[in-house]
Amino acid sequence: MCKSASELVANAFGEMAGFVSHLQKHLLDGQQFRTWRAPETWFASGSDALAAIRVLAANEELECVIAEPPDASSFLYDLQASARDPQRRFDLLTARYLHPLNIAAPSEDSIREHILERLMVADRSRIEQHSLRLLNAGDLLLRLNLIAINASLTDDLRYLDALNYYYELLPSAWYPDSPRSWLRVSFLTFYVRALMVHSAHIS
Amino acid sequence: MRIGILAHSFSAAFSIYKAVEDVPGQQLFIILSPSPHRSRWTSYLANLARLVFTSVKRFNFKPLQLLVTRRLIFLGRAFHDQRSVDTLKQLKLDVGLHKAGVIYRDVTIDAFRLGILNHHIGILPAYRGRSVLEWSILQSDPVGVTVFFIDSGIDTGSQILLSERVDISRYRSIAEAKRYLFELDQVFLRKALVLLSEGKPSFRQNDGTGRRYFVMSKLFESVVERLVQGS
Repeated sequence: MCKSASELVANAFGEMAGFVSHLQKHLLDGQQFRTWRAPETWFASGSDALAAIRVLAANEELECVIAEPPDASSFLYDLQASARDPQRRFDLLTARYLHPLNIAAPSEDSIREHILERLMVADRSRIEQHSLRLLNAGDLLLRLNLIAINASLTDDLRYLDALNYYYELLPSAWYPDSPRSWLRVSFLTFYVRALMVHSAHIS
Repeated sequence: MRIGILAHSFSAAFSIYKAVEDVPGQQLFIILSPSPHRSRWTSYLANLARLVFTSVKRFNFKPLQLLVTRRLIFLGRAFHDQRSVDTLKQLKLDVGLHKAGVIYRDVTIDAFRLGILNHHIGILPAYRGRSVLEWSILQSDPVGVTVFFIDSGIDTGSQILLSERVDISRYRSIAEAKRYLFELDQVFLRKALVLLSEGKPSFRQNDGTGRRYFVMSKLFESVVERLVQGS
């Protein structure tokens, strides 16, 4: 998988080429991943979600300051209501997970379950029966990144297997037509990390 | 009890019919709806052909008898279509036996006095959804089957009638083990009907404590395949 990630042409990711190259080098060098801890309640954040994902993917430290979790029930309702509006869903998720490790917070159980189900039922079916082009790449990749982050922080193997499934499903030479195409490489980085965390289970 | 076997294919329905026809105190109906992948007429003709073939090949004229006595019913539409629901209601059925590849809507389920029974190849409430055999093996949990009254969700119907562990150790592949578990529907739906016909069945609660599983990746499937081969 590290090889697949390294075979992606960094320059195809536009202004994020440097970031992608950095991730590829990290994967090929086989460097240790920094240990993450799941929030017991919620982590406050001073940056935006996409910048924080880049920090985590680059194996840099993201400050974890405990805070109160926001309301989960109305968010889930909003997320479900945006089923046919990927841009709205992208905006909702980036607004909520300013600190991406919060996806693993106890309050997010039903939200994680919803994201996982959506990926493994409706989106999977659309990709397999129709085309990957029917989906909004940025929205799909953001959700895969969040699930991949959670996969390292849970012993629920369904999250890891969703990553396995999408790794097998997505074309290896897929360069998403999206300004957030770099999320494809951060997804692969988080996937490698999750596999390493769970290696005892799957060896 | 009036029991309706719900299927798209006559052959599938008839396999259940044969398994349960001697359960005392019941009257059986086979109710066929067109396959979602075929036109109404193609489905109808294919099922008629199967019916005749079954009768002639095995000198078993039960299928023709079912047709003549109006206990074999061809619905022209999907199970949730209002005309289909009206037909189901007119039959005054107590229990449905699920043998069709669909998720039923409430309007169809409500046409049965007690509901529709499903044979699920996993232990509920722990294992809902897809690839539950594989997930049970991967997580070293018991393999088995559950018969429960469905609702419109994915394996969320609250009343579990029957749940048993099944030994699959003699099988050397997931496909073989899965086929075996699916074919047990004849045994377990029969057991379920016997329990119901004896009156006062004790239901266990499908309380939502388990997880919904999804189709498994090839990577994990290969791990499970090795576990099955090595068992």
